[in-house]
Amino acid sequence: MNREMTKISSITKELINYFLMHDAKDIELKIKVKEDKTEINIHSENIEFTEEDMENIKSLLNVGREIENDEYYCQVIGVNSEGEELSAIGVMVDEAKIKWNKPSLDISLIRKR
Amino acid sequence: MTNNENIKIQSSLMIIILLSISFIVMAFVLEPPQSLLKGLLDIIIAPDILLTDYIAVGGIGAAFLNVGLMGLINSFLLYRFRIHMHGLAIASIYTVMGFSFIGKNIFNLWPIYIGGYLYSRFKDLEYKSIFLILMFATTLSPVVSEIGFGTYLPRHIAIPAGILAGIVIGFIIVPLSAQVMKFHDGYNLYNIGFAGGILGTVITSLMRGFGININTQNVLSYEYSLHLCILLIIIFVMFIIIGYFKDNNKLKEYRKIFNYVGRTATDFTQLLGDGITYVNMGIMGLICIIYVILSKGYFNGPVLAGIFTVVGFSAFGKHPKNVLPILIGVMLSSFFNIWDISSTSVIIAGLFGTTLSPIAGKYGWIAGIITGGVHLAISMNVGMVHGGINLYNNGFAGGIAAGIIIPILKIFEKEN
Repeated sequence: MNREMTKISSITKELINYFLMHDAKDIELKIKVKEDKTEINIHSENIEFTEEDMENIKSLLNVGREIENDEYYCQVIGVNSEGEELSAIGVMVDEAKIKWNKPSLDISLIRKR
Repeated sequence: MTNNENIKIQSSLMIIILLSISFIVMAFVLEPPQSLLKGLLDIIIAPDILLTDYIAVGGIGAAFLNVGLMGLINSFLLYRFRIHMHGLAIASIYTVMGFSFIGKNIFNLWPIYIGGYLYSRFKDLEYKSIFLILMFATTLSPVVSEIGFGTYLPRHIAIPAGILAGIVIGFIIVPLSAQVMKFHDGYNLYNIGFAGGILGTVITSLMRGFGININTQNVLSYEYSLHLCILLIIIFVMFIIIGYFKDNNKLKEYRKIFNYVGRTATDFTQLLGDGITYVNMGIMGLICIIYVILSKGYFNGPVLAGIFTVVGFSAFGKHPKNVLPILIGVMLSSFFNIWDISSTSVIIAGLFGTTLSPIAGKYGWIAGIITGGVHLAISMNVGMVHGGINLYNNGFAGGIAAGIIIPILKIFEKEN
């Protein structure tokens, strides 16, 4: 697996950990690998999620891409099974959209190459 | 990058640049230029094995000059690569500046940076994406100095061999550090120290196989303790003032920082803002000073390295609630075992032992105190394995401690 795909794999693993930590009863994951970017979408119809979680996740995922942290954070995320490293995902993606329609949650991420 | 981000980079970098210039000015005030140059040369040709206090090797002026120049060189590179001065960058530059008192110098950092550059070209990565890792990777820069100036080989062979060894280290350290992260689940903040310890063990073993003996040493200074203590107090009070003026209306939110476990991706500049981060850095610096005074220790090169590293990582995971249990654990255990609580080795085991602060953050005070005790025992023993060529000996020890403690703590975690 090349470095870029390793990073995509780490990001998705961290997202899955996050959903499982919030008692998601079903999880759908979709990854589209394109020439210039990769789109990741994760969705659950039934997840334990609060206003506070929403505020937290919005701020963490929208910090903006930082190339300089790419390699370091790639080492960090997905290692632990507790879904605590969302801030690391935030600096590894270019766009993040979060839709919360209680009890369903949908997160879409775009990472440009 | 927005205009605001540009300003942010300027202001955070400016603090480091001003600090670096202050060290250079103090160097010239303390010693005449000729003495400084001689001292700097002595620092460059010193083998740099742990513990080599540059204040003892080249004099306090030359040590300050080295710290200031290292700060400026790395600030320029951070600026050149347009690296955001967020938590990780702050942690890395304060760590480099701290260790410029005990092993990193204006000569031995370059081979590792060059090796990393070659790795980035080889793997088709942007150099800036690995540069912060390389800054930490200068933990193994004593290898360059030890081979170059510490062996019986003729200089014209030894120096190129030392440089080559540094380049090889820079080339392999990034994938190696990724590999070892899994061992401690990210609970050891100085992961590169763990990677450096493993790589250093291999290098030392190979060198010993060729009859080149590398052993830890104890070159320490004691005569400037009070002056250094006062200097540190001034710096950290300034940090608190800077933090206050950066966003004074948010300081009441400082206690929010205690909610964070502090594992390896806890960037306080992003999570809480620059103001709270600088206040935390200042408070943590003052806590370190109190710890050294309570231990009846001296402020010297290694202790300054420890304090600067803690302060840097106070932008990236450390806060009083997750650090104090570790410090208490080290102090308590040193009452019951053979090590002298006031010795520099034990004091820096405590300061650097805060690499394990995420364990206290996650599992609480008792786990943190026990972790501190375990860490002290390991750190006092693993130095001989790599012979002191890995400057982050406590990062190595911390990785081992976390790798053992975390699985045990998980046994007692509730399933739901």
